[in-house]
Amino acid sequence: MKRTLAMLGVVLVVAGSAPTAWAQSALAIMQKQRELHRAADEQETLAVKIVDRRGAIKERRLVRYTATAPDGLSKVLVRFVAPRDIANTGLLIWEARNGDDDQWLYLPGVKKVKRIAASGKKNRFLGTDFSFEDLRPEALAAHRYESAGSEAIDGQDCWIIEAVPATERQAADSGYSKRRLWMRKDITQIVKREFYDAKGRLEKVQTDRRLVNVKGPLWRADEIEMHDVQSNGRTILTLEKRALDAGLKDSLFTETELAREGS
Amino acid sequence: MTRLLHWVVDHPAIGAALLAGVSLVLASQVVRIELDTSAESFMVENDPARAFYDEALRKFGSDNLTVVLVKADDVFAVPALQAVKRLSDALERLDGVTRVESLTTVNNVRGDDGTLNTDPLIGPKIPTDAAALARIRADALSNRVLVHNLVSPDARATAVVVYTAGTAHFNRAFTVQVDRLIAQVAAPGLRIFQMGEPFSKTTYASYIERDQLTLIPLSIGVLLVVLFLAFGTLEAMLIPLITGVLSIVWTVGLMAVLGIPLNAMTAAVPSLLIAIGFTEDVHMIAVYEELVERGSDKLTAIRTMLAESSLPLLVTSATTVLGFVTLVFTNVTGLVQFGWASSIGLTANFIITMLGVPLLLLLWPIPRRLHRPAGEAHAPRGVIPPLMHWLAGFIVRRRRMVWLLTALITAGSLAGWSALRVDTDFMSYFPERSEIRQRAQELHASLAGSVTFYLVVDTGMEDGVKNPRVLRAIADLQDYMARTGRIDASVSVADYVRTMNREMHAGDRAFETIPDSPDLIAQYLLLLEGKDLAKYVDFNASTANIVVRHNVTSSFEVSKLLAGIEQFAAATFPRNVRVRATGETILVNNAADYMAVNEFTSFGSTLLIIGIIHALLFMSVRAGGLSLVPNVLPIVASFGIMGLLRIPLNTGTAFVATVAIGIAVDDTVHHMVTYNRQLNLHNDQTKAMVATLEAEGRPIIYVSLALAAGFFVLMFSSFVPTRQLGFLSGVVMLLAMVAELVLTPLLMHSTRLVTLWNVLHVKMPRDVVRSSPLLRGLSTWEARKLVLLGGLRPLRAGDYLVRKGEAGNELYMVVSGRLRAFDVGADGREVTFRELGSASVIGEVAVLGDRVRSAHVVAETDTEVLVISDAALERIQRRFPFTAAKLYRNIAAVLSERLRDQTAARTLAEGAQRAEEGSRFVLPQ
Repeated sequence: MKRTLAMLGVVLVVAGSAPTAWAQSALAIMQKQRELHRAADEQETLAVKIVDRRGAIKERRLVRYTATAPDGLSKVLVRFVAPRDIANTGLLIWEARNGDDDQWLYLPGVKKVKRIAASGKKNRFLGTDFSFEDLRPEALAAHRYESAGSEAIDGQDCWIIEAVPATERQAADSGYSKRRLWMRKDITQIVKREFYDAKGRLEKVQTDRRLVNVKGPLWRADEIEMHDVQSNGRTILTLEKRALDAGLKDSLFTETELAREGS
Repeated sequence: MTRLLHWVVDHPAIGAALLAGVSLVLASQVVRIELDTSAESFMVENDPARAFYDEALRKFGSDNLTVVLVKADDVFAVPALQAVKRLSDALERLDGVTRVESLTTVNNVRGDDGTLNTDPLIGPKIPTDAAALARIRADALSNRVLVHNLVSPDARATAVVVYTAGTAHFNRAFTVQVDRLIAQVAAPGLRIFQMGEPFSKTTYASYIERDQLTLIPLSIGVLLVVLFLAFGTLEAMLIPLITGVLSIVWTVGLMAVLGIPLNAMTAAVPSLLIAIGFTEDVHMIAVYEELVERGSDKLTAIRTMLAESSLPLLVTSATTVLGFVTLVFTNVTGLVQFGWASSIGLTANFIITMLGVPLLLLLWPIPRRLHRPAGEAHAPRGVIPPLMHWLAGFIVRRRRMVWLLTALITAGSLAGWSALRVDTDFMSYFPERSEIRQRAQELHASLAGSVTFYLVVDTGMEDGVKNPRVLRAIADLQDYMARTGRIDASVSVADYVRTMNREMHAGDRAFETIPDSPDLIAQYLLLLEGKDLAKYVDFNASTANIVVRHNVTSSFEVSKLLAGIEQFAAATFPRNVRVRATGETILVNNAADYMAVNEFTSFGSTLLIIGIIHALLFMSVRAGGLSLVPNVLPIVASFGIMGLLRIPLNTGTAFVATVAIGIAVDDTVHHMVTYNRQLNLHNDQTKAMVATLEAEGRPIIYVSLALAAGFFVLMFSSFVPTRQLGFLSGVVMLLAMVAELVLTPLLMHSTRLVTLWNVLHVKMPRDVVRSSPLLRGLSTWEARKLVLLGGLRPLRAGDYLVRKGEAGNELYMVVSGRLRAFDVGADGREVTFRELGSASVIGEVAVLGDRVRSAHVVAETDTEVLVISDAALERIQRRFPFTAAKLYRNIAAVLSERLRDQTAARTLAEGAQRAEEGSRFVLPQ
């Protein structure tokens, strides 16, 4: 009898602390994900396929260079390769801690680099279904994470984590009132995301497919699809070439480089 | 049909129960009636332009626009901007709203030497410092996408443009919500109102409802007054009212069941029903009352009335319905619905009248006024009979003057025709001083009209829009449209590219052009891609869209404008690029002109069919044609009046001809039938004309006045075209009345008519037809026609038919009774030649020969003979040659029989004589 009571007590204590334990783990899981899949720098050639709701297709190709500094802030250089009329159009982004990133634009037709004003986070990136916000790495400090159960995606068990902007200001800055992230338990990598707009309606769903183990515990998806549920358009990024930790120099992420065509 | 009606009269309870039952069922359906304000009903079905429009909608979104206009002394001051922001945010959240454009939602492109700013023009908070406001003002007023579109150059007006994609039912709720938001945002110094498609349609719907509440009671009132003047009895007023109201219940109920909605056109049907539907009641009641006055008891009067009236009324109702039914074969939904609604209504009214009037008359006690002591002469009352008497005389005396006047009026009308114009102006449906027109005008004057259409530029190839030539042509087209002075604003992808190019060159106005490099254009579009541009260029950049706003609602003007645009475009764009206008307003425009033209052709076919029906009715093609003349001329004249008064041919007025013809001919039919009857009676055309006018004058005048009054009631409608329809139709009714009283008698002077129901009612015993040598080989039908073209003459016993030696040009056949042909000998003794019984023929020799009677013929009993004069023979020959041929052959047979008899008799007599003279001669072997 006493034993049963004791066991019951243990169970209760454990059960009682579970939510908090869970809550901690949600953030912990996110942090783990970041640790596992971080690379110092990355270079990818991506095919971008934009499909509208009637099935019409636009195809582009770009090269994306990313470098993450030890302090956690990253720099990104995007250069379009195809189609020919936008080849060498480029975008340069320096992530800032306070959220007001520095951005520059280069149009080969004008041969000038222009600084772009920062507050375009909510805007869609150059006609795709991704917003600038989606292309930045996860800003862990700007969100609160809560666990929301488990679910299997394509036979893989996943945690479901809900991300909500942490403060009023973040909420105003962000285009999303809420996101739900499906994190594969085995590799701690996100394979599906749901994005909810300011009115709380489901706006987009991002699905990461063809995950490859690039090296060590680091996984990347070779195909990422963003489906805009409301307009029924989708953008599919398909990886063509990838090089990780190739030692990209900081001088690559400058206006001069941006204006230099071809590379 | 008469039998059915007699059955109903004999079983009134069942008939009444039936009527009541159906009425109750349909009454319960009335609440289901739908109100349709969509533009679909004004478009042509299966219009290929429709498919193009739907495709444009798929690519570029809805062209359904609401503008919430905010006016202030300076819209770049905080109060106005606050209002704009609150409105934009709230409107964005409303259901059915697909897009909101305002100063607070648009992005601005601004560049200086090192920066390109594509932020929103106004940030999340309205700035309060003067510098920031001045910057916003400067940016907005130098942005070609915004000026004239969202803000006026003088900064006194700004618009929140809302695109919606709701259903027809959506509009009213949306309009109310917007008004509520406007009220919440109101502030001193600001004038805010909404204008656009949803508002227009909601206003339109409320007008329809208002019309129903005004016109129907008015029509009823007018009807009661006229009936009172015409008859003076309570039953004459109430019975048509009851059948009229029942007809409306049946019609609206059936409309609800069949899914025919109430729209601007079908809304006129109830009052039209009252105006037209009562004419049958009037005819029936008039006959009934006259019979009762002459002493019939109620039941007999009702039966006789039914026997006399049912067939003519069936035909006249059919021709009225015919005019409306032809509308069903047009291609415009609204017209088709009007055609169905009015045809069903008039048919229902006919059924209700034929069943209900006898039933109601049965119930009603005979009005005291009609009881006259037996024997008292039935004197014609009122001023009309003497007037008709005078008129008949006038017509005969001044025949030539009448023809001359008619010709002059017709010629004058045709002159008016040349001024006729086809023009449907949706906005002009509303009276000039109405709220909606004032708003449209104010919006147009302050900023830009809310009437929208798309100019779709199709290059036919992917990325075709990125071609500088195409973009420059678009820019030139926009400049051209601005120069016409009729286009208030236009926005296109070219505007965005030009603005971007300018800002990429640090705001240098010299660069507000289309760059030469297609690559650069492609790069600009890459930056601008997204929701903002979705309205102006399609996904693959093969098609561009110019959104055009203006205030022109006249279809005539719009057609002219579009023609100019298309011509300029053809000259400006590269050859493979197609530029085409589309939009809801364009489709409605097409339909409007199509409808008006269609009216004319449907009128023509209606005329033809009615002519054929009447020709069958009178068994004479000439009579059929004749019946149309007094009715076509008033219509010709009314179109002439339209032209002279500059009333346009639109969806309302184009109806007049088709509606009027079906109604106006009915009087003519009654007139012609009565004339024929009188002619048979009097055998004198002038006497017949006078008698006819005296008999028919009253009904013709009262019915025409009532019809005209009923149509004039439509002038109280909220809709201008309905008013015009009412005015013109009323005028046609009055002109038709004059034509009826003057032209019809004149025209009929030369024609003797046989009518269908005369033929049906002639009692011609079949055995007579079969056995008479005169009528051998004729069908009963032909025999009856013969009777009518000839004549029936009754004789009393002892009357002489003919006397020996008289001149005679008639031949006779005994229909019933007995005649005796005899001569008086030298000794004074009567020698009877023959007894002539039924079917015998006599007098044929005189008719075809020497025209002197060879014997006396007297009636032994009361007898009826068929009289055929040589004039009648001629008539028969002309009208019914086949019948005449048979007749002549029969007469020839009779004569040859007569000849054989004579020859045989002579031969016998000669033989006897010779025998007397001796039998010297031996007959040859």
